[in-house]
Amino acid sequence: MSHSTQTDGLGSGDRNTASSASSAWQFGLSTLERFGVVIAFIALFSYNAITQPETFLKPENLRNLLNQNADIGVIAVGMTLVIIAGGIDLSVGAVMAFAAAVGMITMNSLFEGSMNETLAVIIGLATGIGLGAACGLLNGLLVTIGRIPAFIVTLAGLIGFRSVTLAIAEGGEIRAADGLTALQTLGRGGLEIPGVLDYYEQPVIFYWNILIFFTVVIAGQLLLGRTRLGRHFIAVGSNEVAARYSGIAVNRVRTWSYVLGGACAGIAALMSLMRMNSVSSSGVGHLAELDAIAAVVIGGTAMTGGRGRVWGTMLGVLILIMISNMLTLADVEVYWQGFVKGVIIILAVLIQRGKAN
Amino acid sequence: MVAETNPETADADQLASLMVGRDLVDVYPPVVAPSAETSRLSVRELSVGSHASKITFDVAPGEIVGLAGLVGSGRTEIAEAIVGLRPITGGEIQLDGDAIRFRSPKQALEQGVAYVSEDRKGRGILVDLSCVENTTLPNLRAYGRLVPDRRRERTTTAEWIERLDIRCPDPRSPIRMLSGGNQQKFAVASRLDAQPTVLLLDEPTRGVDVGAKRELYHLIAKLAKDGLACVLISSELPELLGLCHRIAVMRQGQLAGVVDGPTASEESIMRLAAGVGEAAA
Repeated sequence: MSHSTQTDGLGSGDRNTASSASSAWQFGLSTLERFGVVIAFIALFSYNAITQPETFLKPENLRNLLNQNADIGVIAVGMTLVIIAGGIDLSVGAVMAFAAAVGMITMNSLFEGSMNETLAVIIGLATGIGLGAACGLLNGLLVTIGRIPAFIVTLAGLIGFRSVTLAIAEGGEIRAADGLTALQTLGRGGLEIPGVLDYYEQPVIFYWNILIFFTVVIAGQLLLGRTRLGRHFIAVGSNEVAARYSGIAVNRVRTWSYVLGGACAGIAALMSLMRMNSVSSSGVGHLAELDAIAAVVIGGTAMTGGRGRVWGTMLGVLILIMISNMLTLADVEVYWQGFVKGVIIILAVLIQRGKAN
Repeated sequence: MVAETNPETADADQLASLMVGRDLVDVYPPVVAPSAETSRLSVRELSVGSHASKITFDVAPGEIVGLAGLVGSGRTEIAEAIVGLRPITGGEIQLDGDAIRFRSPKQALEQGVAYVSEDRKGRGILVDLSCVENTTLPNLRAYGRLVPDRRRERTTTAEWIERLDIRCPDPRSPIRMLSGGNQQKFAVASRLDAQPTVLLLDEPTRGVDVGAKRELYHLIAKLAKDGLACVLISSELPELLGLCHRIAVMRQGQLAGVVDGPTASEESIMRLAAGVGEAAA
């Protein structure tokens, strides 16, 4: 603490001294709780590393774990912003599937219409992000102008956008057109870290998806911590009425949070396209909203809004990945994994409640 | 430190000075004549639903106009309607003679009209945010359209702390750790940071200790002297009488009368507010 406690005589504790002491106490308390998620992350990582030294720490294993969950991670970043601004978005998984389906169809038809392959892929990807953001805008307007509770609006979105996606794909899969390989190449591409080699002494490629995830995390944290919009998210989530009295355009700010949440779902859609080279209309983004909310909660963001951090959500995502991995490697049936996740979420909320008091 | 005094002989001033630790001789600053005659804010036959009807008053630059009345007489609703927080159902508001109607406090602030709510913790400040963030929130755009300059935010906050004599050990700590009086000063500072020309203060000294009250009075008088047009809503008649050039008294949503601040008495205001002895008023 920058200010030292001054005592200018026996028992003459003035207001300054008292509040300085209490702030120091609260600071100490919150430090422990603030980094609870870091401690949990380190503990889980160490446990995995020690119990499965041969498998877990292998670069290709870490790479695969990250790659499989990077899209959910991006959705979780968007969810963090929405929740901090005092909302909730249950539609992100369905929006992800919708954006992926439309993006794929756009790409295919442009490519089959003999457009340059790269250009077709770029336009398809842009369409996906734009569609995600547009779905978010619709959510935001219904919540703010339409004055319908976010839970209801986005629940309707969850059902509605999934339904549209299933209809588009007739319940099945949309695959990349024959000869359209740029997407797949993109999904296999990435960054080689010098000296990081796999079992066969080949360089391990950290796929673009993984880099996109961390980029979105950094961008989200900067947005929240450094920008005016981020400050407004926190203010509106903390006390919407006081924020309006302070001259904040509350509806605009809340709408922006849904637009960004939707755009993240759109980015996640592209990541799934790059990874799978196809869209399963029922599978893509299925229950993604719940995994994202779980990561947000574990990361220490208050469900009531006004308080949270993107880097916490990132650790929440990584913790969920490690738990799944642990359970899989320990031969726990996949059916039980949801139960363990549920317990973890409850524990995280219990710890959070201690912080609020 | 404890001082004892005889409750039979002690008066309010004596108790106050013992609590604050210094004499409170000049609780109210001298009332200085307004700098301009022309009206900055004109409220013309303003009606706000069932809360207020046909309220008319003017505030000139440098003038402090009090809004007196019992709780529920429609004073807060008038102020909230002016800054766009409540729908106006009749009449109009003029700024420098031009009719204007704000849709939101944001718009009002952009046009130089600021409102400090009576509900400090619910509407005045954001308790979870830091003192710095609270200070710059209404005018954050001035610190950077996309990315606020945090160093400038801290500098400005330090200036407000100095100027309003706020006791704040760490401006980066949450504002909820401060006393009510210091929170209130930040609430006022945040509005002033938007450089308004009209300031609507709603019960600014509620729940504020005597020492901070005196500082707030001097601040209000100083702001008026510098040309700010002030509307002071208060249930404390001594502070209205001590600070205001004119006092508009409301009763059940109606304007019961306007009295001269320096010559009015508590009794004359109470008569108007309660509606007794109307012939005398």
